[in-house]
Amino acid sequence: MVVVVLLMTAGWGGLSARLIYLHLGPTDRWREWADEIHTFEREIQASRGRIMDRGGKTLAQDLPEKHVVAAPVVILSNQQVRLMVDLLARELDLDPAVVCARLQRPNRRHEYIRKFVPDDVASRLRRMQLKGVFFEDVSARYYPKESLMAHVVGFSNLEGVGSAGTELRWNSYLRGLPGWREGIRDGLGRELVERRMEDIAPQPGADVYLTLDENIQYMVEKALDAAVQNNQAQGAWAIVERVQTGEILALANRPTYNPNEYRMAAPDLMMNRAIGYMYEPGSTFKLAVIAAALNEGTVCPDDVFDCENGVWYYRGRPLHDYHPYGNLMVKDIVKKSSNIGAAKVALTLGDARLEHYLRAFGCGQPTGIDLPGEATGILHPRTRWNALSLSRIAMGHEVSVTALQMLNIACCIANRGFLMRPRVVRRIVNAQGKSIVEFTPEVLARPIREDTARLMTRLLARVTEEGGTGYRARVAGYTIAGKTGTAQKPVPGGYSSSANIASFVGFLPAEEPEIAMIVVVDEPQPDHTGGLVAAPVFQEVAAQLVRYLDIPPNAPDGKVAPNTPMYAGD
Amino acid sequence: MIRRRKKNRKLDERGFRVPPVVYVLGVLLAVGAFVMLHLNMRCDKVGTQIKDLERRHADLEKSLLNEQYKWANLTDPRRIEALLQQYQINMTWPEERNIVRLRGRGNPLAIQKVVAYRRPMGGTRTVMHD
Repeated sequence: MVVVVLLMTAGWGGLSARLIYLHLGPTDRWREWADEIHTFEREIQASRGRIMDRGGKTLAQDLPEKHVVAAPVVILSNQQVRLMVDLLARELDLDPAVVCARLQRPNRRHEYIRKFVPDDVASRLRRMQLKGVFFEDVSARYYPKESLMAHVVGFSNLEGVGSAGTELRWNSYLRGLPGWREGIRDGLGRELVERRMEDIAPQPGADVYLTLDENIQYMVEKALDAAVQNNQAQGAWAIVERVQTGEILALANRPTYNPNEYRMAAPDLMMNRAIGYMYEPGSTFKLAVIAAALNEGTVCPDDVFDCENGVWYYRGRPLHDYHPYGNLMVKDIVKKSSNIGAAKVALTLGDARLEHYLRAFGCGQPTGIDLPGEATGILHPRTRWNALSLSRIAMGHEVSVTALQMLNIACCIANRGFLMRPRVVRRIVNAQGKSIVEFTPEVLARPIREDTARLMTRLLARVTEEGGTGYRARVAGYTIAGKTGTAQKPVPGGYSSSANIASFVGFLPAEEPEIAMIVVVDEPQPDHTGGLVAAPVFQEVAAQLVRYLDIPPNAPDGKVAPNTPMYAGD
Repeated sequence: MIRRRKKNRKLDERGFRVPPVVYVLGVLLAVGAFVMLHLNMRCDKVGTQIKDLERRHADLEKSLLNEQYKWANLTDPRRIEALLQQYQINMTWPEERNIVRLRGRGNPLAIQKVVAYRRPMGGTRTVMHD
């Protein structure tokens, strides 16, 4: 009895002493140690906002996925390596040798078997209740439309940071704000929710609604694919824009890539040529030069210029026309796309005025579209022009533009002289459905008067009439105003005789323009002119567009509507 | 010999008596402890419920995202076109004469007028596609 009492006294005494020691000893260190075990601090990732087309169709979104992780130490101790290798390799579509190598690491408690596994596959594995296999929640960015609109949507990298296109440009809105949680875990590592100390919910990223339309984009991409294939071209790109607002309805490039597999795509495929590739526009540029001359009143549509039967020596250097012409009126210089005629019109303007107008049209400066990677184009200051520059710029040489800049000039003419800022984002909506940014049309400049714009439109409408270079762009029931362009590609020491850029820029209906479009085909073979290569693509897309957008026909026979005088006195 | 009377200790007023305040305090303490215990259990239960709801919310969000992704895939124009080809369905744009444009700006009367106008015309069907 005495012994028992002594033992109990000693036991209680020891415990009491330990208790006193724990309370009075180096408590801070122990408290920290205990806190480390029981408390946790965790950042809660915010989901990235979606990218939608103008009709609310999803183009980019986050998807829940899992990292499949193994604890080799557990699997090896259970002697289940072979079973696990078979199962994991089969379910995760991996090489069994790779899985085996990862599981044969006896000291490892955390070994990634496969990252970013779809949720349904992970659920299947979870149901098997494999000992030593666990899962980490992650989310990954997916692009359900794959290559459709790839250059506009762009992609975000594995860290969830926008790296191209809209993903990059609007990353600050899309990424959201991460949340924060501090709390306590029980002995099994489970969170005690009722003892949460801090809980700041993450703010999901905002949804970005584009101005582009999925169906129009598809029409354009399909037409470009056919154009590249039929003409054995190096590439092709096209843009569709609403003339009155600057909204881009479609922007497509070939070649392209799949943003879901951006790591495997060559940088060349990721280039947004429609806004980032500068080229000498060739004859499409004549519309800016002629519009400037008409606006200044240096020429009238009926003024006649001698086109020198195809060859004109200006300051000792020859200037050629594609087809030889004699005397042509200004309106026919546009229709027939005479280089000599356009050069002579430009000479009536002079260097200073031509440069002034071209800069007013936005040449040599970015349009300000809300996408990264826009090129500025090249328009040298006239102090650097040589004696031939004026005649060369008039036919779209010695100057470089992007397809978007060229389209914007056409839109300016179609929009009564107002130059609009092109846009690909319509609005940004937060997670609560509230619109936080709403974009409205923005006028950049008004380089030409309304009467000049209307007059120029009439001239351009003749290009798609019988005998014009762009008649293949005609759409039954609609008047199309446009201009073809065929430019030789510059090579060291001059211009290539075989590599061309064929293009067509136009808008419709000519009288009340709603839509403008540019089509550029890079190095088409064997046909290489804009009228033969790019105009049919324009026609193919425009014929569907007018039905899709329900644009009523304005001219049953496709010609300029009657009773619409070309200009005063016509 | 005088027989001494046995003392009744129960009636001894000089003995220790617990004051009623202590009783009350004890009872209050006990009640308080039970209330604390009850509240603690409630907190545990609510915590568990919160956790369950959070898990359910996360699951539903995941499901929603998955369904949105599937829907986006299903409505891909390339996929629709491939399916149309697979089933040999040839879609054409409607002829201009087959289109009825309703410009009522949301006014149901405008639609009714069109319907009323179309029906007597030999029972032609108002169609948007061929």
